[in-house]
Amino acid sequence: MLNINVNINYAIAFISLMILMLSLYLVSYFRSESEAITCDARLSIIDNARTLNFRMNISFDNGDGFITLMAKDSASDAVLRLRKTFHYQLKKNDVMVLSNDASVMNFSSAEAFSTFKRYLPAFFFTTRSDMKMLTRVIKSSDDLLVFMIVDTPLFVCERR
Amino acid sequence: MEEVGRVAVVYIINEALIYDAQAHLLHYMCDDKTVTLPIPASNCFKILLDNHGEIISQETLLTRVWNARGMNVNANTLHQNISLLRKALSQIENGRSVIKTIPKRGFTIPTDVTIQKKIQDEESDPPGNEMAEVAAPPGVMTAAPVEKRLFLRRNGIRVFIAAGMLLLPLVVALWHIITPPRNYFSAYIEINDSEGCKVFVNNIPDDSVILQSLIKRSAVDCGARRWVYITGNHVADYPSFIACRNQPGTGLSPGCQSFYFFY
Repeated sequence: MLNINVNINYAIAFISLMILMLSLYLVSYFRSESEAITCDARLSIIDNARTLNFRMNISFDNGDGFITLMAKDSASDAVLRLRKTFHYQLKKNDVMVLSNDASVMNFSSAEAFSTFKRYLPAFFFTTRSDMKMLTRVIKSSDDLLVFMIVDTPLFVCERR
Repeated sequence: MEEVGRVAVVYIINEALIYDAQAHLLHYMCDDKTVTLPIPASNCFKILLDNHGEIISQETLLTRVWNARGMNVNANTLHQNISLLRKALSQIENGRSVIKTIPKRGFTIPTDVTIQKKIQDEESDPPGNEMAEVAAPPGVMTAAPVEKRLFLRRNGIRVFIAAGMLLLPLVVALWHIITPPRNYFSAYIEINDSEGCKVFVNNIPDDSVILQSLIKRSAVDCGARRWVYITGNHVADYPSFIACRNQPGTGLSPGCQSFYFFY
């Protein structure tokens, strides 16, 4: 009788261990899958007769990310190309804290630079490593992320 | 294995009101009525209760209740929540004076308000009860079967708890796999079509003409049946909306674009 009990205990321990390992594997797999994201976003800023069109490609992968941004000003045909790398941390309530890393910028003229700087957050142009930007990123569907500030959507980003 | 139950912290205010900080509930003892507080209001109340007699500045409340959760709100929001709290407290005698505003300094709960803090530990049945239950019919069983039953029962409970704890991550993982994310825009309400665009808003506007003029200025091709989502509670100083080729969440590529309007 005692032997049967001991065997049952071993079996339970073994099955429990298997379940635990499988669970950990599934959780870590789906977590890493959901964190590795590349998406595209389009947005336009309309300021009277001027329209600035932006196309962005954003990548996130386990704490590191980059944004490639191309913008064109309809009023002056000025163009901005920007590639920015950053680190990020995911917090509660879908909050994401972006920390500045490095930027590579190409702009058609100094005037163009000041135009775009007027409309985009300082985070895109800064070289300060302590500069941070806060956003909320909500997964709306398998192919759509909504970038928000507090409870207002800023733009949507479509997964590739 | 010793089981530790949920610890509930309750405050009894002026011996007339019970506040459950975890559940954000106010229970009026006089009429046995319970109301639910909005979470920010509840969190403000808890901070004030925990610092009974001290003046808590607006900045402290804004930082601890909103900023710590990644939200940036102004003092108006704080005052609205304090006002909600006062309204809820006003149903007890002298309830209006429970939270006092100290001009230019903050808020306080005066020391003349009596507050009792109670920590309730909701533990599972103690082992003694289990023994009493098993050994209930005296004289019917011998000591050995009672011990054996007790051993098996305790073992069964241990296995049950262990299995539950181990299965929990599996259930979470499976839930993660099978549950599709909630379509963010499903909460938006459709209002009248604007020249072919299907327009959705999170708040019904007083004047939809403004929305139509925004859509016109954006040059969104409403003739091609666009889906337009307009958010009314802007924290930014300028209006914006999101226009999509296809309805998000339907499996078709949404093809969305955001528009911002600077005046």
